[in-house]
Amino acid sequence: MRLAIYFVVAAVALFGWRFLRDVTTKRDTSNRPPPWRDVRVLAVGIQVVAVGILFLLGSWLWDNFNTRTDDIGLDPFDFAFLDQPSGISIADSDLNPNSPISSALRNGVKNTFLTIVVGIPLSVLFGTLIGISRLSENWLLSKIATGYVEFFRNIPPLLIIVFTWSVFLTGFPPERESWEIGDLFIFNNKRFAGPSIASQENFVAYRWLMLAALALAAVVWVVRTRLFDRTGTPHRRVLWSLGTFVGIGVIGYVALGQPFRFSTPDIVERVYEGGVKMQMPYAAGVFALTLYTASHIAEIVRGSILSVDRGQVEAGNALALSGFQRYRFVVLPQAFRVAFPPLINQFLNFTKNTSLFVAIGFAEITSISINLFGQSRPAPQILFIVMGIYLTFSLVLSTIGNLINGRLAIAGR
Amino acid sequence: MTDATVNADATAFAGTGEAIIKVENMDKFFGDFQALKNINMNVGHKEVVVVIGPSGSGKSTLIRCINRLEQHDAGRIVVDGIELSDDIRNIQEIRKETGMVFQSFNLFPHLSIIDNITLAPRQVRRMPKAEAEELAMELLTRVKIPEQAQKFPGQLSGGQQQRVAIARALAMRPKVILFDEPTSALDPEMIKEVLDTMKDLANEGMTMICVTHEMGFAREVADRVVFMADGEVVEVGTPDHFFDNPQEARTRLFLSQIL
Ligand SMILES: Nc1ncnc2c1ncn2[C@@H]1O[C@H](COP(=O)(O)OP(=O)(O)OP(=O)(O)O)[C@@H](O)[C@H]1O
Ligand SMILES: [Mg+2]
Repeated sequence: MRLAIYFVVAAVALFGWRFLRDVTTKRDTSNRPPPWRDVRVLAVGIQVVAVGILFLLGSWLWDNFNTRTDDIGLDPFDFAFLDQPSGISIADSDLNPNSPISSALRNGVKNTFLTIVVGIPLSVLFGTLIGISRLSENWLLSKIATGYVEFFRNIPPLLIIVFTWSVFLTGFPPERESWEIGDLFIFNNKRFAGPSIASQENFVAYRWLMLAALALAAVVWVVRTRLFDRTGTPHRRVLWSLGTFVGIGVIGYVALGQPFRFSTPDIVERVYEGGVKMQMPYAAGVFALTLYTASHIAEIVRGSILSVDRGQVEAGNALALSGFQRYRFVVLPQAFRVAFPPLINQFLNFTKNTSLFVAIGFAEITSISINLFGQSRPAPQILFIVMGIYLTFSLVLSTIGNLINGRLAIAGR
Repeated sequence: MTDATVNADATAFAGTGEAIIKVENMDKFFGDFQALKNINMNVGHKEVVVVIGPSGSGKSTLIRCINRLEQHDAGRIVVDGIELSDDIRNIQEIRKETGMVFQSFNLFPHLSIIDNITLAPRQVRRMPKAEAEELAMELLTRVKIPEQAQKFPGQLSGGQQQRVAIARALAMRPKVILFDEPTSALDPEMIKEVLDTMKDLANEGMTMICVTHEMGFAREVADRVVFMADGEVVEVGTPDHFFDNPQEARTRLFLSQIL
């Protein structure tokens, strides 16, 4: 271990020295300042020192950790435990206490993912509506939006989540007395269920067909747009594309002999059959976190619209653009560029805040890992994995965000 | 000298036929402050009217009322036979006929030069893309920067940006163009290229109202010069009259300060 540290320090020193030498030989050296005042030397020097300190600190911690685990006789730091039975069961999944820990973790990742893919788009949609409402000239609407933002922005998200959950718990009836809307929806304080599509024969073929239909609809869209650009014939591209897609869907449905049917939910002897269902804590958690995140997004949206120069609106008006056209082509594209980086931040916050669902018993990745600690599973390794998972989610989100942001950049600005 | 010899009537316009812009007894308030007081002014077809006056005299407010960037409080404004009222349709019709060029260019920074120019013709006039782009290139050639078509506003010099702004206004094929100090934000070496573009426009017979401090331009191009102070039209005349023989004391004071 000590050897490793010396090796790293030596490598850093060597690298730093070579860098310094390059820096100093590139230019005429006749009037260089002394090294301790040379900005280029200082810039490199600070980085070398920082990296060195980081390495020393890291290896000291690692050494410490190993010594302590040896002392108290813990298992060595490896990941063999992942194959052992988890000892926990997860609602609405095939997992039982005998399933391996790795499956339990995977299930947690899936559940976290499900909260993000539903919650983030909802937050954006709702937040945008609130943000625009706050700018509205309608006094009542703008005051309601302001009240909403000020309320939710200033309460800890954990509180909102637990409160929403308790409202759902007491507000919805117990399973036996479920509310049903027609045969389509079922609500109770354990689960919500709704209709879904159930596959029948030829469903796989039908799925491919619909994928092709989607591609064809896109082509139709482009063709209609081009035609409009060339000749000015009204494009009606929404109608055309939708017509293509739906038309193929209907023909395919008949030709393939009803490849799917609609499935409605039902509770038979406390078991849910058909349809799709979600657990109440999932619904409550996503709902609460959406309310919270939307209040932040609303402020971002409002600020970004206000940041667009008044002259832009005036130029749009002077060119006789309609109110909608002004928003669509002038204000929103510029506001969106301002809003985008902080929006990404909110997406990351949403992702991290889903860990608070541990408080309402939804089996996302954090609550699963905490459950595993209760089964005396090795905390350091599991925490490493869970941190790695959040980091991956965040990196994927911010990488996508940065790619889009780069494409949005305004040339010459 | 008596007031009687001062011509403060801006309603008599050069040329024949109907005035294309008529402003009658127009008042404009900002809160309690009266920015324009009983303005009467006509502009004829193909006429170039230059509006001058000290800062805060209401020049910008006057031309901004004509295309409803500001709302006038009393009196009438008629553009090309359309009365400017609260009717959104009338407002849009008038805006289609009046182009505007701003001191700060106000190009759309997120759109390329050609998209800046084609946006309104395509969206408002429903012009096919190909036709709009052809028109845009024609206009860019006219303002002498066709090679900049694919660039973005932030990549152009101030003078080039202002010429794009002029092309953008022209693309709607307006009957009148309003200029609000189009060269005030420009470096001296760029002022000339913009003024030359404006002179070309005037010579081609475009009807223009220009708020400007460029007296050389006023002298060379204007059919009439309107001098404003404190929200009122103080003196009106041909450039020759104006620069050689101004009557009103305030006019002379103003001219002595800027010439
Ligand atoms: N939006 C506004 N709110 C309140 N007062 C305004 C507003 N716009 C202009 N004013 C006032 O109206 C008067 C006329 O302003 P205007 O901008 O028309 O002057 P101007 O002649 O164009 O001056 P400059 O040469 O400085 O551009 C000024 O006293 C100004 O302070
Ligand atoms: Mg002004």
